[in-house]
Amino acid sequence: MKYARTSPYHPIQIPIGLIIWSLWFVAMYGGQAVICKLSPPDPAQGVWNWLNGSLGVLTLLTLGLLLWMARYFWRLSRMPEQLNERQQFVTKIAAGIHLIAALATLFVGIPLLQIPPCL
Amino acid sequence: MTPTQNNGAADLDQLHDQFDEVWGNPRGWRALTIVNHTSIGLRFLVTGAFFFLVGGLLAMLIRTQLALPGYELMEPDVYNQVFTMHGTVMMFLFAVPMMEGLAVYLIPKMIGARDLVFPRLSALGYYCYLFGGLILLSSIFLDVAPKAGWFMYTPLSSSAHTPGVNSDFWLLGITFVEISAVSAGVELVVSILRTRTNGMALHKMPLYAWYILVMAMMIVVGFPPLILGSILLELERAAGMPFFDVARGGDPVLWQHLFWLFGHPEVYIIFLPGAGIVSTLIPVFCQRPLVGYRWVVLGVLTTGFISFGLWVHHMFTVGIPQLATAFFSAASMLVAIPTGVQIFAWLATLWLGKPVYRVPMLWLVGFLIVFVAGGLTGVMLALVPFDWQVHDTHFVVAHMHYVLVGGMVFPLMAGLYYWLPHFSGRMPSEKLGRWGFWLFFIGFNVTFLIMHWTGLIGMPRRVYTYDTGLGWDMPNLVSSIGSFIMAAGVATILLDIILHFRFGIPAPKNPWKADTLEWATSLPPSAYNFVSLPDVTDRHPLWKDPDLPDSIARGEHALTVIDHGRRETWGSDPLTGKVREIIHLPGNSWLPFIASVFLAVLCLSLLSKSYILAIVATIATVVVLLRWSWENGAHPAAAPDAHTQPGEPPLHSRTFDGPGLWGMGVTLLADGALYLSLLFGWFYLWTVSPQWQVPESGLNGWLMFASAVLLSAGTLWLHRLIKRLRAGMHSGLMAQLAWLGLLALAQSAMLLWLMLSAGLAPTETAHDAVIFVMLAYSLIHCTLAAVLTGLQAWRVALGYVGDKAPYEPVVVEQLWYYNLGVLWVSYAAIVLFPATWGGA
Repeated sequence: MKYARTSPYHPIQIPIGLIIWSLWFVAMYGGQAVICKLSPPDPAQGVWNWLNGSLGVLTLLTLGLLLWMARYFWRLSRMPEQLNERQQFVTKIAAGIHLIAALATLFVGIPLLQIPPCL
Repeated sequence: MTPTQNNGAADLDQLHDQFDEVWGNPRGWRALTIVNHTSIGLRFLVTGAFFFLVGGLLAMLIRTQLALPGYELMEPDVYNQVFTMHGTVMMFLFAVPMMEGLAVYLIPKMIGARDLVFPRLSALGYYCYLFGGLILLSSIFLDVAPKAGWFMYTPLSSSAHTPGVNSDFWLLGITFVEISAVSAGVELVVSILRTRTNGMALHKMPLYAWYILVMAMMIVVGFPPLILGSILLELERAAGMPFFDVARGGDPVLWQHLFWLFGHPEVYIIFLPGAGIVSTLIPVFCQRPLVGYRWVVLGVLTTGFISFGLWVHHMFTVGIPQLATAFFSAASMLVAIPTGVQIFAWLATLWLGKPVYRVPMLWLVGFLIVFVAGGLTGVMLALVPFDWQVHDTHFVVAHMHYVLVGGMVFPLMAGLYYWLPHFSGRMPSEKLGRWGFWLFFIGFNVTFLIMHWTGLIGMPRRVYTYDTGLGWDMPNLVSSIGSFIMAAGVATILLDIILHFRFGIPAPKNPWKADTLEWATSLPPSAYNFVSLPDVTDRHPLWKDPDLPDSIARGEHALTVIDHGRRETWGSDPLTGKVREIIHLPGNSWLPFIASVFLAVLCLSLLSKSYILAIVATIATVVVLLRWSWENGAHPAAAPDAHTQPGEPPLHSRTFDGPGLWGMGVTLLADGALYLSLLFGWFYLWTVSPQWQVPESGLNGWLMFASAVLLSAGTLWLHRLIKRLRAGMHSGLMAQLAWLGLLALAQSAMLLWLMLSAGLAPTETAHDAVIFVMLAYSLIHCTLAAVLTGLQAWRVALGYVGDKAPYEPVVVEQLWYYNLGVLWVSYAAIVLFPATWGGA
């Protein structure tokens, strides 16, 4: 059986969580580098400045998206009577990957609360 | 898929003879034409072992020099060449090719296929590796070996500080070798996704295949940044384009980014196949399935991704802002978790099983001890303040060897001992094997455990000698003694392997009572692996059906008809493993060898700065590669007769899907990674380079825009043409493809005009140099699209492509989409971005 790429059972769903994490990571690293060059916030503001705030919002949005998708795939995988073994495998792995990506986002994003940018 | 019954022994012999006739390997000079994955995989392994011995010999020289304070076995310049070549040989000529070679050998057998999907690409990859490695190695004997460290940091490696050809040998030789790595990466990805035997769904796939799938994808994405970096640095050295020269707007830190964008994933590229071997062998020696299959898959995928977010931890001391280093520090700690998940899965399997301590298991236990120790010091190094303290000391050397030798050499040795009966049909000596292991294990730990302390008390890396009285004398002597014990271990293993070919007892069928399909072949295997292809519905096919090897050999499964003379294997659905077409594979050919010879000539001519010869070699290579692509689809040398057995699916070249489509997709992924690295370089220099200069631009933005619009129109036209082809309408196909080829040629000419009329001064500023490379990149790709589309028109005229064989235009279409995306992004980057941000 062939699935459309948008189907939750298509194997493309397996890496999507970590692809989102990768894009977020690039945006965090690249974003702070570019902003630090163009318009760095006043160091006297410490960690509570608009740059850390913007990156924090991006982190929370990404975290929320990943958690929502993890929950979505987890709920799908909990319907064993409606899914075959292959569909269960894809949905469970995808749920796990999204959850891992969410935790990775949270963990890597924590320094935003501790370190001022551009120093 | 109707099973063929061959009851009589004579019939069976005749069937095997027929298979041998189609798949068999020629001897003598014609052995250079062999493309079969078993032969190519073995060649990779033997060549890799040779380079390992060379790298080991260089290591012995280093340890001899450092054994005593003030000892000068080698002059400083020679010492620099030796340690640079040690790292380079071990990383590029041993570790990656060895792991790829093992995968090339094993993957088709494990997934129930007869060969990899692009056998000729395997052969090309091998010859590129061999020739590139030999060219690089020759530099030692000419006393012009690279000497700026295996990472070739600029400005040390640039022409101002290393004026000879030393760095050129590295840059050109390694790029040549990387063609091999990426080509193997592409074909492993496609083979694993598309050629599994019937019923082997993704969740039934052997774990080793999961590991190799992730490794191969990492190669596809991870190697291009270094390929780009090498091209840019060579352009700087040979043509004076200042990508890394601060005075002209470049930045040497860009090289570090490009190198480590490759370099850190590289660690996992060689660790993951090692871990794959561990996950394959532990269940066999415990006689139970691995605990947590799904958790391990999650761990492997996560490791693969997160490893791309760690590269800056090699650059913590270069002055990157603290917040950015904190991101990478956190990610570096994070990657230990998925690795830890795998380690707990292995420990749980050992706990729940009944492990038998044969020689491969000894190496696995050694792996667990050494690699966990290396992983723990890795977490220490992920902490920025600690990294600052020990940066560039022997502590890092010790850590690196614990991770790389622990994560790659120990599992590899376990695997080699385990699969030795496969290569030779004989069992190794248990006694010599144990001696080899213990000498290596003790020698390794004596060498490198104490090296942590040598580093902690301050001994820097890459110093050719040291004064006495610094506290470094004794630990260095102990390390050197340990390295000689380790060398004795290597010699013992080598002796065991050589002797076993003569004195080893013949291996029984499935000697380790393994569960995976590679043990269902004869020992050693035939060129076609399996005379009949079985259905697989279980993760452990040989545990489920121990008689499977016999029934396969009796031809009781599928795809047993060979009188058509085609090499065939199943083409299956990536997720379900259900068969959906028959993939016909190309046979032995001189073309890969000839192409690699021309590439070697190109490499040598660039080294000797004979640019006319380089142009001739490039043209010759392109001609050979186009000739190679010509023998495809319905061509008389490929599959002119599309007839298949009743009930069997069609040949892939008679469908709209097939390995070439996937191969093109994965290749463009690698190509895209290279382009994105270039784009990263552009924005990086624009924002970070301390003396970035934006000269007056003569770039005609409207001309570039017009070129992009023309390409968009052409792509839309091709898209509609293929849509019609899919609907079964092929009238005017040849003429329209020919017009499209001309359109692509015109669009390429506009790009060339753009480049020539822009007044770029690529040797004066990094700004113009990057624009030049970006435009040249698009020009090459668009010209290639024009040629390939024109050839498609010709193939339609000859009847090789059409409604009955509609596959190839779909493959070429992907290149058009890619070119379109690249050109528009380049337009945005070099025309719109500067205009928006100023300085255009």
